[in-house]
Amino acid sequence: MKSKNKLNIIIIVSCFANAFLFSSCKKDFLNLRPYDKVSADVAISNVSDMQAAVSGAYNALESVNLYGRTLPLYGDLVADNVIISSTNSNRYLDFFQINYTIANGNAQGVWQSAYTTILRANNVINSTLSGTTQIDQLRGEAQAIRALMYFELVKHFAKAYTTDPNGLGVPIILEYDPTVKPTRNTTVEVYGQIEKDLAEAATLMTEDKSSGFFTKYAAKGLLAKIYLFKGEWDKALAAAEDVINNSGYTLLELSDVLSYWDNNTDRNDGVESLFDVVFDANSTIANSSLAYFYDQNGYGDALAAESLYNLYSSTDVRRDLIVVGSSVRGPNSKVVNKYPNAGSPDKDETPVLRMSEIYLIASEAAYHMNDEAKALTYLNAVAEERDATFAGYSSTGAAVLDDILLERRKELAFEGQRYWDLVRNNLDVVRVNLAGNYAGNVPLTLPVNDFHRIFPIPQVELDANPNIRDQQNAGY
Amino acid sequence: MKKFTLSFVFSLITLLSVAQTRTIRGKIVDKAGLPVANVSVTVKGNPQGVSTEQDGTFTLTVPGDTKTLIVSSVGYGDQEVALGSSSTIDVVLAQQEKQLEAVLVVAYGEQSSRKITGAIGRVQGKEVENIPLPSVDQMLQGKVAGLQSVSPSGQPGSFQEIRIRGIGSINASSSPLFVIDGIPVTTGDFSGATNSSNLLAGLNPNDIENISVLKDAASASIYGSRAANGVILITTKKGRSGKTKIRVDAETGSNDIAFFPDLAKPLNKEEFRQLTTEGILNVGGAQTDVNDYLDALGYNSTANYNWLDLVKRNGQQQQVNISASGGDAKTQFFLSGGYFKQQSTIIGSDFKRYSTNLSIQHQANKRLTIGANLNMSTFHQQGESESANFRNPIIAAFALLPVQEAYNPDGTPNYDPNVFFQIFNPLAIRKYDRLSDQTSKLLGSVNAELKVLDNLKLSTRYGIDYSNIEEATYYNPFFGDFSSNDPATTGYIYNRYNRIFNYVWTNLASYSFHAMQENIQGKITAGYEVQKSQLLTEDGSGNGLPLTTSVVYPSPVTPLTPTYFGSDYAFGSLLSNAEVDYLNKYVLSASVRRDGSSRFGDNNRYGTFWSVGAAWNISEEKFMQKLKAISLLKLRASYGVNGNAGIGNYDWRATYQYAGTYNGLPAAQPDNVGNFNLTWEQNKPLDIGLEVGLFDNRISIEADYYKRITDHLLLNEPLSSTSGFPSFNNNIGAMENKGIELTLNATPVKTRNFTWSISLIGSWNKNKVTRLREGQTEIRTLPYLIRIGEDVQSIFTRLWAGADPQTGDPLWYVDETKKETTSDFSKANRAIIGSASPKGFGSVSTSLAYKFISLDAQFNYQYGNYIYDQWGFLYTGDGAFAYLNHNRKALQRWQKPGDITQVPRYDNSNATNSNTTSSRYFYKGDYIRLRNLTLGFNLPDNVVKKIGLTKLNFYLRGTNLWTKAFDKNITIDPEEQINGTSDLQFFNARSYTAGINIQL
Repeated sequence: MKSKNKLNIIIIVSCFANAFLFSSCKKDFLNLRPYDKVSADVAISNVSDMQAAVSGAYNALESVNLYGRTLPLYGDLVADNVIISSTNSNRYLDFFQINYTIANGNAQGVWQSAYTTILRANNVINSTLSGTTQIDQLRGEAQAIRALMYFELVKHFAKAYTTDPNGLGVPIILEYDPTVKPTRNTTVEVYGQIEKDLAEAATLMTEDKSSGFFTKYAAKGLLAKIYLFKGEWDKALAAAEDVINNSGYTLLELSDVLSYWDNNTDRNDGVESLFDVVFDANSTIANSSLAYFYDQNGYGDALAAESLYNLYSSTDVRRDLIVVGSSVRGPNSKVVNKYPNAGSPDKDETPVLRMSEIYLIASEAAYHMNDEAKALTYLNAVAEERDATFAGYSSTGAAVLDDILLERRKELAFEGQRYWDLVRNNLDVVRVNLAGNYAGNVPLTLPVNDFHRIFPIPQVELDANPNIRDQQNAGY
Repeated sequence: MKKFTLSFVFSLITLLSVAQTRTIRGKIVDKAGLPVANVSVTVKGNPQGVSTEQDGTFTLTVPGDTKTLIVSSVGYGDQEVALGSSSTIDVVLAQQEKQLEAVLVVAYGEQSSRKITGAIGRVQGKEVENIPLPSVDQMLQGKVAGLQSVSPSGQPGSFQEIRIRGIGSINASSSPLFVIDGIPVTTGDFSGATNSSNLLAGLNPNDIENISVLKDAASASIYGSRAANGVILITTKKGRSGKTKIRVDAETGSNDIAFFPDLAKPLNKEEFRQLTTEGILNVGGAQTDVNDYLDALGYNSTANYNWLDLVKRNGQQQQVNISASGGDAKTQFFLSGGYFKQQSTIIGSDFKRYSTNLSIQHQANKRLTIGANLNMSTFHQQGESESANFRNPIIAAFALLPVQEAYNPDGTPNYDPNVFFQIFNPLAIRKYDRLSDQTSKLLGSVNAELKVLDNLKLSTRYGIDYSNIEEATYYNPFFGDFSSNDPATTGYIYNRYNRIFNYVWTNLASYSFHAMQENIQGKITAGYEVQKSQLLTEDGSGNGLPLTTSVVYPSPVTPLTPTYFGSDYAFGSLLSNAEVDYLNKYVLSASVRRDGSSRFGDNNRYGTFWSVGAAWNISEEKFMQKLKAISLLKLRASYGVNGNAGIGNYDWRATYQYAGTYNGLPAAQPDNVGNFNLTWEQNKPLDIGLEVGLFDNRISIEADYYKRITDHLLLNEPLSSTSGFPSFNNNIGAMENKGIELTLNATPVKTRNFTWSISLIGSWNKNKVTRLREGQTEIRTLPYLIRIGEDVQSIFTRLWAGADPQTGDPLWYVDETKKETTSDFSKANRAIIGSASPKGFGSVSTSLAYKFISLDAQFNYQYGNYIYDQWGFLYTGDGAFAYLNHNRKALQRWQKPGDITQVPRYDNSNATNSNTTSSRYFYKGDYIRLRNLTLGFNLPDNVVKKIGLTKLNFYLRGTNLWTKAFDKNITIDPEEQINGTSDLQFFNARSYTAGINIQL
């Protein structure tokens, strides 16, 4: 009998002991963490975390809404370089037809993906880590990425700095706050933030990893472009010449042009590429890639405009980047072949900044500073490396600027640049309807006063953010 | 020497026991002289005893000096019986209570029915025994008022959907919590590679003693944050002391398709030729175009197949269950083994289960009882893709043409891609591919109960619920979804392993008390419960399979990256319930539970859930005593708050995930906003019930009115995209369900030889969405619509107006006024045409027993909902998919001016949008179905005894023998999944089984 009581007591005691144990460790018991994720507040705790977070920011640039497809396409499609074939998959027709509304999914995609990238960059920039060159480098890369995104946002959603610097820009968000309901900053404020980020990034960065990552001179080159967009010619020339003279990067030579564009990996040789968004075999872009949109075995919807093709002389190597004839779209179609790796798991990189453009920036800035000789020197440095028989531009006066813009159009075609050259120079888009390129309800002009020159603030943003509702771009 | 000592000791013990005990045999009968089974017989002062057999007999060994026995039974109370010198004793039970009072399994215990204040549906184990369905949840339709249970697929062992008192959520779970023998178990579908798998299919329904369905606050709120969608308590069989009973159940049968309307049948060769000819001429083609087109399809061959006939079959099924139960006064056991095998009505779709069950209870001493349950099973499922997969045999049955050659000259299935250029030959898929899973399941628990005082009990139970699902898929390298010309990539093998481990530990103390000379009785239970569940998934796959199908696990040329996934959740809870009654007339109950869960955000980690309930047994009142006809009159009401924790495990956390790469480097990025306030959805159920028994409960009625208001529904709340996120999950929506439930049982005839009883069950529920996020009035998930003020499953689609009698063009109504029609698709506006949720559903059952023959029937019915033939646009598309076969409905097409028909002109490659989603593809879901018809032969006891058995029954059973669908245009089985959408699933089966039960 005694032993039974003992047993009973043991059971009672152990029950209650366990109750006590349970309640004392309850907090941990219920604090379960995901197996494949980390808490955001401790996600960037050391330099390895920081590296992964910066990779995350670069990874966001691969989005189809950004350098995956939309950005490098829009600048040519809405201008006069690229057309959508009548045989198409219904993608980007609204851009081609210059007919978009506040519900436009592609414009919304740019807005959302750019801010997603900015969040990823902000978290790196705002991390408490500091003190090593590696950390400085990573923070610098994140700042350059942030600057790049604000540049794209302010280009697409705000009037050009050169026409309305104090107009509505885009909201500047530098810290993560999910409840934020911002109003729009002015364009000049946005450019100020971009310059600040790029200047700091150029100071912080000391490593040159490859063309797939931002470097000191990539940041400086981007800064040159920012000054160009602002019309601050002296600063633009100084920054561009800093890159040309001090970066050690060289201009793409004639003999290498075709192999350069055939290549689908990032470069380490200091030739031409200042910054590319890298797509490798692990990227998930697949059939949403820019290359697939041009490839006639892919969607193949987009073709080079006849008027652009005709600009290249038969000896211009860049004409070979356009192939005549498509089995799907007819023997006279001009098929863009600048990105020939659509069929490979490792897709083409999207060029963001390269030396040829830096030379052309220097040329344009020099022209505006009334240094025609220098302008022609930089211009011909590029032009003569594209055509063995070309004797060089020798124009004078306003014709120099025309030549610079022409060379930019030819050199930077299919890289989403053309439209912005027109916009920052306050020029109409004029499409030349050769070979029925602009049939049906496709407009032949996009004049400077048309509200479609910039995107609408997306409907979803207006819905979620009452503070921005009365700041919609005019016309939408 | 040793041997001698041993046998000496043994003899001595025998002698002593003979000297000290005596054996009493007896029989216990009621006033009518009928034997009463399961009466407990004990020696006074010692709780150890035995229970009576079916024939009322018992045998009990008692100490020699025993003077008094206690016989006690539910509904009769305790009765003392003086023991004389005789070793046999017959006892007539004096009926103490007015009627036999049932004891129901309730949350964390048992309760006599009069003391219950909540709404509880009850299903007896024998109602789910020997039913030709693999899992118990499939058997509940029509058994409990307010409970809707439907199969999304006819694949045996697939997932079942259950809704109790309507749909209570938009984005979180709407499924009830299952508790088996006190353990909240993991249920649902954890398959990833195969179609669907139901963890409950691991539980052999023949091992179930009873089921309680907890529907309201008073009964369910004690389960706290997991009670909102109702709770289903399953109690498995336990042993009883007495003679060891051995029972064998065996049945065999076959099945075919339960319901297949003529209109859904595919066209034969000639009909399709005729339609295509017409279709090409209608779009301006010539007869030569017709010939060319038909030849290209294969009309120049002699092939002529009915693909439906090729994929369907008469499925075979068997089950055998053997159990043994018994024990003595101290130890009782139940053990069983089962085998269940079923083929579905479609080739290659099979299910097989092996199960065992073991239960032991042991009384260690007067105060301590210990026990264990162990339920182990493994089941194997072989299936095929459903939905619009080109490999789905159902789409093949509907859409392959009779002229597509099924076989090669040597008799093997033909898979020539020129013949099967889109939808694959299902016979070849069957022969060369494999989609299978095997689930092993273990549900075990140990428990102990200690009577500290006569009125204070402590109990503990530790249970584990372990499942692992191994899925194996194989896609051949010759043809099909994964074949290519490159030997390095052709074919695909994908294997997946899932492990779910769930443990629960419950500790309770319960204290009974009484006051005022026992006029007031009460009980308080309090305790705590902890539970943790972990899921682990691993998979591996590869391309480039060897060109042979004889290797089960081929080694792929190109192995693909394996993936690993893990996830877990935990609950920690304090709980208490109490009830007190005065003279069994007035009952008050209350419960409270404090739940903490890892699923809830930091700011809302713990929640308190409660209920209050009251019951008034009016028939106990003095003023009722004169009304002899009324044997039971009870009014009850309850109200409370509970929750729905069926939300994502880590949704509240702000996280970074490691996903993707950049330029060869791993990338991390914020992937979830996090919401520290994120919490359970809240449910506030009100229930008022009335129970009436007439003429000694020959007629009993139970009626309930309920209204449950669900708040804090999880919805996506949009964020300014400038934050980097488009939206986050927040508790913002609300809806309500209200309805009436009615259960009527009556036994119009009850004589010595003949009994006739009937049962009616009806449920009527009305759902209304009452709040979405601020500024939002509706969420469109076409063709469904969630709109404030409307049913959560409203159907929002264009209104079909048939074919234009003059032209045969499709017509739609412009809007819901149905005044104006248009053939311009863009002018046809959408409107709400109804809901996928039924207005009412239930069953009508009847049971006849004459001498040793019995006949049971159960009809299920449902009405007021719409079902959707989602893929009708393919095979009733008026030629839109001209190269696919059409169903016989297409024969009703418009042919000449003046034709009045719902089906427009047949145009080859029809581009009129006539087959775009519209009310045309929705049908009324009203049906009556003969769910069960059983003819039983229970051999008379005297016959059975002569052959040395206790019991011997035979039965013939038909399931889904007859179906009446009230919409004459219907093309699909009206018993659809909850959202009413047909997804080319395997068909519901009609089955015929014959079985035998033997009891030794």
